[in-house]
Formats: sequence, C-alpha cells, structure tokens
Amino acid sequence: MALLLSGSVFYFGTSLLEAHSRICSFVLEHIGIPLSGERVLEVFPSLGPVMVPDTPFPHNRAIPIRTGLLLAASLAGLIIIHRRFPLARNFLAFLMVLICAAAAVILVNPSFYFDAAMFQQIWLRGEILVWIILPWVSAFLFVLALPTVAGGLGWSLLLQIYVAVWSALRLVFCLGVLHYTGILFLPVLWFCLGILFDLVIILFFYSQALDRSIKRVMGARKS
Amino acid sequence: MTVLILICKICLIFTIVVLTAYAVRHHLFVLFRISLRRSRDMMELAGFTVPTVSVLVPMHNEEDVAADVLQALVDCDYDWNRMEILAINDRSDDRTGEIIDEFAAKYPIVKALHRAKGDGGKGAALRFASAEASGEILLLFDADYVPGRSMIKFLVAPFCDPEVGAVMGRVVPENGSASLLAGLLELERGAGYQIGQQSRYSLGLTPQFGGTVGGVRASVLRAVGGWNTYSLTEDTDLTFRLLIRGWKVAYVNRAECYEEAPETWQVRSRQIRRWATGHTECLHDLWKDWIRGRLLNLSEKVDGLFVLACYWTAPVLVLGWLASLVLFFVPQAHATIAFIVALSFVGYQLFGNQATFLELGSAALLDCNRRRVRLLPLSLFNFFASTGAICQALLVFYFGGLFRSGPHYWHKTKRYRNGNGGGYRNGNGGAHRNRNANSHSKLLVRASNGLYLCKREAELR
Repeated sequence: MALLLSGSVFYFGTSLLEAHSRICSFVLEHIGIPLSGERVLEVFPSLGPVMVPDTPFPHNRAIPIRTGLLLAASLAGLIIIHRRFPLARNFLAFLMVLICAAAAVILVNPSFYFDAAMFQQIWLRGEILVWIILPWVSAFLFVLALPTVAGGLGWSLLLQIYVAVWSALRLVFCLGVLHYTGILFLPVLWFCLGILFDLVIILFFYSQALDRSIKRVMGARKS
Repeated sequence: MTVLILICKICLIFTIVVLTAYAVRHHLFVLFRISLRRSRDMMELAGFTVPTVSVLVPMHNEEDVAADVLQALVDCDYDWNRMEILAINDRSDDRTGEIIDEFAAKYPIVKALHRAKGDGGKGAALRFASAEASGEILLLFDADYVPGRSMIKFLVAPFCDPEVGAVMGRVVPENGSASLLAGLLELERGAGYQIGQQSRYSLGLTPQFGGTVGGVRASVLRAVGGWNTYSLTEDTDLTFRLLIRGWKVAYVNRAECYEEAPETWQVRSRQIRRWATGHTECLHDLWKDWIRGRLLNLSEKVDGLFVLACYWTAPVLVLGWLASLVLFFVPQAHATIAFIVALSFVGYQLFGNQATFLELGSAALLDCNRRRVRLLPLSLFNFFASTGAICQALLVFYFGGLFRSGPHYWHKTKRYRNGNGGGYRNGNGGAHRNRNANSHSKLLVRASNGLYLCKREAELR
C-alpha cells in the first residue's frame, strides 16, 4: 500500500504540484495579495515543469525603516516568549539566529535577492519528498502500531490529503508575509512552516489516532 | 565553495548513517514490543524466593521527601527478619538526619547511617553504605521514589536465576500533571522503560541498571570492584562492568515505582547534562573492555555501543541540520545528486525523528495513557531543548579545558513535594497534607483480593 501510494505521488507528481499551485493562486487572489503573473518552475529534473504564481517581494534595502522596525519587533517578541517559556528556549534561540542571519545578509550583501519562484522551488522540493515518504512513515505510525489495520489505513490516507492541502495554505501565508516584509523572515518561515510543520501535523494526527485507539481499548475492556 | 559543499555532504552522509542506525534499532524495538504477548520477568516467582535484602536510600538534603520513602519501605510486605533499610544521611544540612533518626528509633529494620564528610555524589554514599549492608541483595531507591507494597518481592524474584547480577524496575513519574515538562517526561520515561528496556531485556541485549528501583547482588558488586565514586552515572558504569564480566541485568516492567520528574526546564537541563557527561565518561572508560569482552555476544556488543554513544546523537544531529541547511540553500549543491541529497535530508528528518515519536506513542498505547498522548506534538520542544542541553554538556566535556572549566560535579535533582514528608511530621498520617503529600496512599489502592496495586493498574482492571 505504501509502495503504491509513494509510486502514485511520484508518477502524478507534476499534476499534484500543479493542483497545489492552483490552490495557492486561488487563495492569493481571494485574500488580496497582488499577483504579477505565473512562472514556469522545474522542481526536480525528473518531474515536468510546473506553473507557479508569482508575487513581488520588496527589496529590504528599499524599505530600511520598516525592515529595522520588523527586526526589532520580532526579536523583542521572541525574547519575551523566550523568557516566559523555558522549554522552547533552544528553539526560539535558533529562530533568533535565523532572523539575525537574514538581517546580516541584507546588510552585507545588498545585491542578494530571493524571489517568489525561488522560494516556491525550495518549498515544493521539500514537500514533494515529504509526500513520497509519508506513506512509509504512516505505515509505521498508523498501520503497524495501531490495533486495527483499517483504522490505520484510514488515518494514513487522511494525513496524506491533509498534508498536501495544508502545505498550499502554509505556502500562501509565507508568500503573503514575504510580499509585505521582504526576505527578512524567509529562513524562519521555511524552517518553521516547512518540513518541521509537516512533522507537527504528522504528530498531531498520530496523537489523535492513539487517543482514539486507547479510548476504544479501554471501552472494550470495560464492556 | 566547492570544499564547503564537500564537507557539508560528508557531514550529512555521516549524520544520515548514524541516525538511520538508531532509527532502525528503535523501530525494531517498537515492533518487537508491540508484538510481544507476554514479557519474561519471572513474576511467577515473586514471594517464593526470599533472600536477605538491604535497602539503600541515599539522601542529601531530602527533608521534603525522606519520610515518604522510608514509610513506604517500612510498609512493604517483605519479611522483616530478612530485610534492613539503610537510610543514609549523606552530608545533609537540613532535617534529613533528624527524620532518619526518628524512623530508626521507631522501626527496628531502619538503620540510620550518617555520613558527615567525604566525597560528594551518590556513588560515594552508596560505597559508604554498602560496607555496612549485610543482605545478599542490595536494593536501591532514590529519596523521591515511592515504592509500592510488593516492590521488594518483585525486584528480588529474578535473582533466583544465578546468572542475574542486577535487576531494574520501572520508573513512573507521579507528577505528570504538575507542568507541561513533567507531562512530556512521563511520555519519555514510558518509552524508555515500556519499550526500550523491555525490548532490550526480552531480546537478550543490554537492559540498563538505573541506580534506583533496582538491585544488585552484594557479592557480585564486591567482585566487580564496588561503586565507582568518580562517575556521574555510577549506574551505567556498574551495568557495563557487570555485563563485561558475564552477569545479566534483568528488567521487571511490573515493578513500577513512582518518582518526581523535573517540573522546570532548569532542573531538567541540569539533570540531562549530568547524564550526558556521565554516560560519555563511561563510553571513554569502558568501550575497549566492552569490545574485547569474551562473555558478550555480537548483538550485545553492538547494542551496548549504541547505549553508550546515545548522547553523541545530539551533536551529530545538529551537524546534520547545519550541513543540510547549507546544501539546501547553495544552488551548486543541487547540480549533481540533488534528488538524493534532498531525499536523504527529508528522509532523515522524518524517519530519524519518527522513531523517537513512534516509541513515545507506542508506550502510551501500551500503558493506555490517554492523559499524556495528546502532548505528543509538543514533545518536539522537549526534543529541541534536550538536544541543546546535551550539546552544551558534551562541549564542556570535550573542550572544557579550553575554557578553564572545573571538574564535573554531582548536582542533586530538585524536589517539588515541598512539605512535611507526607504528613509524617505530625506522626498522624498527614495533618499538613499538600499537593503530593502522602503519595504512598495516593498512588496505591487496595484491590478486593487484599493485594496493593498501583492506581493506574487498578483503573485498567
């Protein structure tokens, strides 16, 4: 089953990525983020070209005050959370390092620029691989470890669909933020909302599946 | 740039190999454990084998918890003629000594041992007390633990096998609802014992003697040189010295004992840094003897190295993160084996991490622990936090000399019971009860057949 799903994702990869891009374009249009057209992108040589929506990112050097304020506000916000939530300190410290690194690149290398197509290429590379690997992850988490095979398969399919749709919405959010703020938050957005967020979604589904399985086991023991 | 890319690729491949090896091992453990119908723990023999037992309880400034553990041990249903409780007041400057003396005056099986000077650390206290112990078996409990009534019977049962040199019970946090961290640690402990220790024992690999909720044969302890007072993890050190000399370590999953898990990150960070340092010390001290060990089979040797090197995975993981970040953002890196590199990157992120989470989830499923399983996505924070703390500890361990860092010290883990020893102070079973006071009665229930069960087991029944 996992082999079939992985193979299907690979075989229909281009169509899936096009559907993903259509969702992005649709949502971007409806939330009022201006599109400057579409660009053809090669995600991987083995996959066909994909049309992706293009939205302009401002040069941070052109908006120095806004960039400075955003940098200060984001660092201040993270420091406040850092002080109040000790368990997340290492994670937050890493985010601060990423923001500072992006600010340093903007300051030191004025010609450095990242456009929407480049960001989407990196994003889609990560996501298509997650979709290919996900059935195998699901096989372990849901099918082998849960008491019922049918339930495990159901959870696996649900997760596969959810991850793909949710990826498009996360990408729209990132493009929206980058459209207004430039590339200051690019590494943070990719790190937090990219593959790591996929892992969070997988864990959320896994915990829900376990919760229901435990409830069922407890119910069966009591009856 | 080409050199940087090459270095990053080498680092990434190394990371993937190491983490995949650990991931495969953890997947095997989970699959084995969930398919295991019945664990071999010799519980049928509980109560039939009654060796003489010395229970060692080292205490350093433990006035908040000392009375709970001593009362729980006194209440154990083991023949008083065949047991003694050695309560060790290890250089305390609070009321610990006083509480121990009161118990010794009240119960003849409690012996008060006061240690006013000497080296610090649990190993030194245990070495001091072991010289005074007269039992064939030495059982160990930390001061914050609350053993159930049948605990001693459960722990001594596997000693009927003459090959068994040490026994380990299961540690269960009793304060999982006190904070998010404590809840996450309850999940983590569940995975470590229910899956890790049980699988390693059942597969004939290397279950670990954890230095508490466990026991060791007194004669064997003497034969292997006693407690290592210089080690920060004297339990790991002893485990490997026993195994090298051909003794077996047994694990008893049903011997559940309740502990206080750290409730704040500062306390947890200090604890995990001590474990990382101590464990790595053991790796450096023992790896040659371990590989040469003539009484160990190949699978034991491989698994033992995995156990000893487990804290190395944190810096290796960080190395992999950094390398993959560089490779992902450098366009030249994608020119040749882009697909493979990216696939490996995503693969190790998901599979490497997934093995840990699969273990956490499967343990919660086996324990029917619904309360904590919903915290699973948040365990990522614990994962990040622990990775940082371990990297810090290993940095100090290997490069501490450069920063003129002093020797490693034993830091006692903070207690949260914050009170009066479970009502002991008034001698009436709890006039001043607070949140966790009188944990003994709170955590145990008496079943209809008269046996004491841990509360969770009773709920499941």
